[in-house]
Amino acid sequence: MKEKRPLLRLLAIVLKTSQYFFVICFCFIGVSSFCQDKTGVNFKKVMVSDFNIPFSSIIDSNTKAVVLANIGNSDFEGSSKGTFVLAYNEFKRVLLLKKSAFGEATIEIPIYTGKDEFAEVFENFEASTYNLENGVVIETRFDKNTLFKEKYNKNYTIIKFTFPQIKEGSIIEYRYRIKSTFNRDDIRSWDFQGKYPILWSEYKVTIPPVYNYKILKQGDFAYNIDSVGKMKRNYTVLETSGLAKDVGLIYNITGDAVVEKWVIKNIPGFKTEEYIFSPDNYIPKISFQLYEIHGSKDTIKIEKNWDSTSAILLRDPDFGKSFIEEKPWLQDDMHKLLSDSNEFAKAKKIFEFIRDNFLCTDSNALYLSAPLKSIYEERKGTVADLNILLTALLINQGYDAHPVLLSTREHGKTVEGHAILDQYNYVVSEMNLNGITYLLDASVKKMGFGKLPEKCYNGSAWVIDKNAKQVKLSADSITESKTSMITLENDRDGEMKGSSSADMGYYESLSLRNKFTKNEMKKEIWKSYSSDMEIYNEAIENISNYEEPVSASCDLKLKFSDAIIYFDPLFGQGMKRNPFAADKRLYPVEMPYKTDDTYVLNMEIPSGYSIDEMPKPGRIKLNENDGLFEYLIAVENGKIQLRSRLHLNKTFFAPEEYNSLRDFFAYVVKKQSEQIVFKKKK
Amino acid sequence: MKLVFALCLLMMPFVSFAQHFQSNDIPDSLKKNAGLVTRYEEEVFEIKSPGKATEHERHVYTILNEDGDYVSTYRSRYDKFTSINNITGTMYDASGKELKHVRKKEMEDVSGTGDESLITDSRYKICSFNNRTYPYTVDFEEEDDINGILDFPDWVPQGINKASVEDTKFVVIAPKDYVLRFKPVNCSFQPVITEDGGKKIYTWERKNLPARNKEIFAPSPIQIIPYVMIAPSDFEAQGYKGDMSTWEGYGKFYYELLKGRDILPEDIKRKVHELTDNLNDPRQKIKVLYDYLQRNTHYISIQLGIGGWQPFDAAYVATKRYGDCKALSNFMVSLLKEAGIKGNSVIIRSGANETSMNSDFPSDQFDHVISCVPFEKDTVWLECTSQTLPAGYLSSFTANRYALLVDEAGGKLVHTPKYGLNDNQEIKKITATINEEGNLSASINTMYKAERQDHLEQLINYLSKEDQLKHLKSSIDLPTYDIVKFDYVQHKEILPPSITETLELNAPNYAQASGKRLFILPNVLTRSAIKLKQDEERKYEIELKDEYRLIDSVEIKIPGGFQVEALPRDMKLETKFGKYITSTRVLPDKIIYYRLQEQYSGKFPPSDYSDLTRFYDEIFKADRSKIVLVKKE
Repeated sequence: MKEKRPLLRLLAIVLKTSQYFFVICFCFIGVSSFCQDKTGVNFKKVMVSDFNIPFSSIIDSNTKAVVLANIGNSDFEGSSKGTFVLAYNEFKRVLLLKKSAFGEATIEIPIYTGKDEFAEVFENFEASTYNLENGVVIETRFDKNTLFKEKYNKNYTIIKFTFPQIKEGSIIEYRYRIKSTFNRDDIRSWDFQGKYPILWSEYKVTIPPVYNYKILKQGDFAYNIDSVGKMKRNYTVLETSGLAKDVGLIYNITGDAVVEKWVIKNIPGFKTEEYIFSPDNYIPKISFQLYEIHGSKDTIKIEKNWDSTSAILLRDPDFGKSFIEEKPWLQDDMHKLLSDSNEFAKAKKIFEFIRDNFLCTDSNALYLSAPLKSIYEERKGTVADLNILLTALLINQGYDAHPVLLSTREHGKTVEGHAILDQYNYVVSEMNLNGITYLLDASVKKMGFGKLPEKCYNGSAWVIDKNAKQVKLSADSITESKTSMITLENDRDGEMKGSSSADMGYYESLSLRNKFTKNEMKKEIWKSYSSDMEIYNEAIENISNYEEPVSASCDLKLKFSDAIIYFDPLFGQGMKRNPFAADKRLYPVEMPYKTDDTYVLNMEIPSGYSIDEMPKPGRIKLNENDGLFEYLIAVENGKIQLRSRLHLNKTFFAPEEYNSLRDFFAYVVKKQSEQIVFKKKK
Repeated sequence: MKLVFALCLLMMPFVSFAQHFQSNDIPDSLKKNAGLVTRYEEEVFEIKSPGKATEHERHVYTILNEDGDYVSTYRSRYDKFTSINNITGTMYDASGKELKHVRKKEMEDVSGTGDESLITDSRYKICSFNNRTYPYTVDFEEEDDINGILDFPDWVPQGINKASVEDTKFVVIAPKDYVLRFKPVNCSFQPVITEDGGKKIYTWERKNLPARNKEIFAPSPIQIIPYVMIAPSDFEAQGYKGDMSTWEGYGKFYYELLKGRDILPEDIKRKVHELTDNLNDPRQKIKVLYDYLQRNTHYISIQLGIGGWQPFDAAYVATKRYGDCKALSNFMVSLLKEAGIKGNSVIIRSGANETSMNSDFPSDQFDHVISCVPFEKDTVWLECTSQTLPAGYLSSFTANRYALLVDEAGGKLVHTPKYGLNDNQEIKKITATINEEGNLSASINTMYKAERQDHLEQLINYLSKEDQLKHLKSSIDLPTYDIVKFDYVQHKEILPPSITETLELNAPNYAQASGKRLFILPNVLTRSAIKLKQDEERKYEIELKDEYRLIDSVEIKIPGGFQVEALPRDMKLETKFGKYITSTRVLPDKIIYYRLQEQYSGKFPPSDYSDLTRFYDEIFKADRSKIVLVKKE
């Protein structure tokens, strides 16, 4: 659930009015052109035809449910809280075709009920089930005694209800309103696509004349309606706190509100695919960004560029203020930890202190959940808590460090050029030392100093400083490289002896470190090797050197006695399944990183044997430069040399590139399953 | 003098306390294999009357490493019956120095409703510490008032793996004349019984228990872990009284809860008669009414107050068309009654791995309700929360176990049917062609029966076609392949039910074609994945729970001009764990492969473990043996 941010009393800030004024009137004069509401669907008007939805390109005999309409409306109202109240209305009508969609008939709506001015109100709730019986629409009203309000935790209550009298073919319909104290980033965004096909998805927003919003659209679907109109409105806002504590101020705002409406019809159900960072990136969606406030005299530009946003964040007590202010207790506690004189070693110790001693309770957070001191004492906190604390400790020790905001992969891509904090969900830290910049994440166990988890490589990140700075973190900028090598030579009596070594990729190492103990890791790494050989002297290096990948080695022994030997030169380490199982692709493929995987085998021909058959060398390119697979094999002086290298030079593949990508991997799988055949000499 | 003495008294517990929980006091024998050590545990359960009790608990754990961290979070559940008077948490470092103390009002308070219910009234107080400097010690203390007794806590001195125990104690205090029932299970722990005025005090205690390791194929915990079951005789909750000392008494209590809750609205009664009056065979009537239930209701769980025990009445289910397991079962029994058929609610423990219970100790060992109609020779079982199972079939969720059948005479233990080797079958027929490049195209027909179809039954009824395909793809182990066509047909008429899967697929490069050879794996789809670790030290018996038979017949057309160079050896393993037979024949134009695997259920001594490992290893290897064909010269 979303973090709740402190209220910015924008009106009050803008007006800077003296306390002797009681009533302030704004008049925004313009030509009113009221836009007609022509919604295709009206609440409670369920028709016989709604039960018989014909098959179409988006609905077939397998469709489990059809959303006949989903209509949202965000509107502002006056209030006595010194700012607007935002009323969000939603109405949804769903035709349930199969039992397996009955889950849709149980609705859970979280509302914020914390003990502050943001507490939301749930109202105007109505719900009914409709069944078609003998050609007549029968309505069963929802029994309000079965509406449950469950206190989820101290901040949220979940409204829960389930529809009565549902069976295959029922229509369920509900509506509700949530009223919340307006916070300027709080106009809800709207998703036009969901799990099931939607026949009519509509969102309407009415914006008071004081505000101007930028509208951000995502997705490829064409809008069936995309209209802007105006409507005369009058809002009364009463201010009773702050400057107006003693007297009370009334703002009267009259003028043309802007009414915008969007409709998309006939949207298919969203089907997710593997190798997609976040389905959210592909769902048609509308979101909002405030950029102007009209005061009584002048207009204030809310420059949501990163410099101004940084400035606000740096003043925020739940963000920058926490580390800019002097914190004597930090100094005291760090003292015994930091006897090292080396600047780099000291910074690393601070980082390790947080990484190894603090628990990350939530890896989605932008602001502090508690004061730094209590996070420090509790030894736990969100990703924002831990990395802001890290930044504070570093600054406190005289380092040049700043927090960095980013959006993780599953959270979705950010819109370039807009400083919309809602689009960000993660904080890391940047530190500059001797001309080198380090990005640090102390919230992930066993993460190396200067390393970030894969999920952070999702586009742009922003360093929050007086002059905000963009850092590009793309999946293309990380490469997972692995090199493994096996050598084998003839020992006595049909036996071969040799060794194997492997330098793992960094992220593979991280996951091994977090999953296994040293002894388990030994078993794990060699587990997949073909079972016919003896493995001994297993060794693993860099297990606790978190900045470096793990490397492993062992000695091998193999016996040959059969007349014909079918020999897997990759010892079971080849790719066995094509990662792209589906034969069709709708969305692009997003790989977590670039790949560079090399395997080398040097072996003598087993004594007493000759090669009867050997795989042919092969080489294939993916597009021009996107990938390369090489399989080089040769025999020289009684020795077989094999080198198999898989190099993927790109992480993002458009749907049109899918087939070539799939074929490329099919070739890799085929080549890596080929065998050498040895025959006993007569 | 007096003052000094008083001071000493005050000081003493403090001093001994601080010393007691220093981490370096722990003997090495308790550290072995352990993530945590239960330093001291005490649970005092005091029965004040058949309906009232108090509970005082203290848990002191020293956490040795990351494996033990989870006990640093303490969750305490409360609801309409149980209220928490007081609860505290304290954390100490290795030397016994206090690091943090948390009181009740500072603890997090969250809803206890999980995914399976719409709403419950259970909530949790949560106290969670975090410390990454090992070892450290946490100490939780709690006092509850219990108003309405339906069950007592069992005493499990050592319930978890990787945890050793230094000292654990369980105390029950009851009025002198109260009949406390208890039974040591997998052990012979007897309490020390003392008397104090009008009270009788039962004390169990265990000390210095080294940590246990988890073993694969071990019997379920309730068959191997020593514990003491404790249950009320007379009990009372929200005006309902019961006597749990016999299954009959327990059943009677539940019957009281059901009484008068079977009244159907008039329209439903009419519907029942409309559906059944013209049928003569009672089994046919059951089928029709069960079908009516499945079409018209679905599972929604609402557990509030006594509602956790007492079902919503039949009229409620009739108007809402939903209910939880007990409400739906009661509704089903009510429908049957209207049709003149006597059905019963049956209380049961659910879950594929929950087949064992202590049938000789009447107590609340259940979590689910089904219904049934007993006939002279057999019984028709009905799982009322399913909308897709056929009447009379239970699935592995509730099959093969004891359950409590409830009727007006009280309750009696019954046993649900077991599905065995001849029921749980998977019979696969593959007809395929391989060309010179090694590409395979295959049509596959598989019949899944009884418990072998349970999982699939859910998938095909509850997933979209796309998701079914996705699931199918994840279950097929082939390098690269396309599914051309797939289809499922469910057969419910004959019990146990079965599902037929027809599948057509193409797998490029299925066989590796090198210059002159073709490597073909004749076992296309059924390859055992079980590989047991050899070097394990075995303490517990081996229990194999599943019984099934898998038969594969494969016919693969091959291109001409090849001769056999290597052929997998025909296998015939007959062991007490199961049977495994394969045969591979290469004819001039085709390969004929046959595979049979039978898995038997049973219990075997720990010494059989290496035989079992070998059995699975041989299957693992044989399932992956290839035919090598070489071009005729």
